[in-house]
Amino acid sequence: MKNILILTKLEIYKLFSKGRSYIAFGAIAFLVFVIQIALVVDGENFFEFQTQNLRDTFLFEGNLLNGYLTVYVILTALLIHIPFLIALVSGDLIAGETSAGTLRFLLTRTSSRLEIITAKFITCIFYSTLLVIAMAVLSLVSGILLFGKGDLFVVRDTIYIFSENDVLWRLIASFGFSILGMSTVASLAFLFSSFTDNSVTPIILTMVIIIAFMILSSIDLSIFKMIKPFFFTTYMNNWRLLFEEPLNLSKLINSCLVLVLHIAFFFGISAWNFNKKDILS
Amino acid sequence: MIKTISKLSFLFLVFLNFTTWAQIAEPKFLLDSINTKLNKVNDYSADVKIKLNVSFIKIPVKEAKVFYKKPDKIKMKSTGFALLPKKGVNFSLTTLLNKSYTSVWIKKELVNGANCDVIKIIPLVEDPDILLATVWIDRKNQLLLKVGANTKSNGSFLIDFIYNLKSNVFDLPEKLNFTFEVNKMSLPMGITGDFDSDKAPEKGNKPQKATLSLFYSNYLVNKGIPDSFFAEETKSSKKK
Repeated sequence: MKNILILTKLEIYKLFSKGRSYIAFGAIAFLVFVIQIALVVDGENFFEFQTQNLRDTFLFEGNLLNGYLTVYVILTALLIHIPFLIALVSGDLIAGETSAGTLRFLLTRTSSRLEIITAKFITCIFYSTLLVIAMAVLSLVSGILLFGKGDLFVVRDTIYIFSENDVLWRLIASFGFSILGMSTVASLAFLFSSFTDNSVTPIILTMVIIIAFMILSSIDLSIFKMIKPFFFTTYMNNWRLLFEEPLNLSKLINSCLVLVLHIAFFFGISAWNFNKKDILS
Repeated sequence: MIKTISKLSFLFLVFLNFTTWAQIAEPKFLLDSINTKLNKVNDYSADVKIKLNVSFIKIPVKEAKVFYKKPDKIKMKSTGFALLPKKGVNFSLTTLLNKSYTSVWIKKELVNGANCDVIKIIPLVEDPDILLATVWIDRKNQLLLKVGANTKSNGSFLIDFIYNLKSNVFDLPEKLNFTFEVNKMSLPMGITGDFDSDKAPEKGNKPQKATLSLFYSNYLVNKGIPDSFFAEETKSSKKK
């Protein structure tokens, strides 16, 4: 266990000494900044125009555009694209070292292969978690500073309006749920990384799988509806259940479990493959 | 003896007919007395709890402060976000009765245990928004218990007034139940970024019954609210 801890620290140090690890943080900071500025400039007109249908019948009292709404918009917009940023780093964790030839050197140490891959996997999950936390802090702080707090207006099949004091925990919980979703993506890229010798293949494979699952899920044919429950991407989007009333807790817990099982399964296969793998270069 | 009974019966029938005739012929007296009573309220402010019940909108009970000034100025201040039906909720019987109209007494009907006169009001002004209004008036307590209206622009609505006679001398309602028709809105889901949905889109878009309950408390009546207080609201309304 102590060995794993030392190895993990080493892996984290190695990860953050690479420039590419900061690309995702930079991209998220840039996107959050751009979205917030765009909402400051045109947000009010945008939401007024979009809700025109409702405004014809109802009188709106209070402020619709607030920090919580901007966080929700950022959350929905970015969570579709963050997997690509995560795959960029997670797909490189093993394959990158294999292609560089440093993995063979690493395996000459006294640590077992399982300890090494576990340390790498923890680093992979740590990176995904840190990225989602960075996104949460950036969007929440900038949103509240620029727009203040307020009730949250969410349009799904039903229009939900949540009181200000009922929103923050939902947003934090949805970021927590997103950590699970992003960790699943990271685990998948990590799995592919354990099978290949170059880091581009796992990144592309992860992206292809996510895009394919998302496209198939969005097509409204009965055959795709039947297989939709078998796509992990279906469960990744279930953080949205936190913005429904009444809260469907069993579906939410079920989604969490499915994602955790995926993470465990992907890690299991990665560890099994890494243990029996011939490191030739 | 038989003659006396016949005379009495005749007198009773004449009296009964006269009363009914008076009611049928002169609903305006009753409406005027209600209008005079309502006109005593120049302005008021009150705390209000808003409970909206629309099938496709889930919103918690909201608290706000409502301000009213004769004849039809109304303003609401809410700390959070609230939705109110645009038409009908600011319905003012005095506005209707202060203009030209004709009225017809329809029948007697029990509303919440009170024997009410049901009167139809037809506005005689040119191009009215309210085409026909029906009022239920408790003659004994001189209270307006129910209003139904058919409007040109927003379908029909029904307002139930519930009073706590001890709470204020002006007989302002303690609770108001507003029933109206609304079509299911199809707002763009992308407005908050949600595109995926497991539910199939509903076929057809028939008007649905929706209700709004307003619970009033802490009335402050005739304390004098300046017109300028409502100016901001008026400006924004004109802009829209």
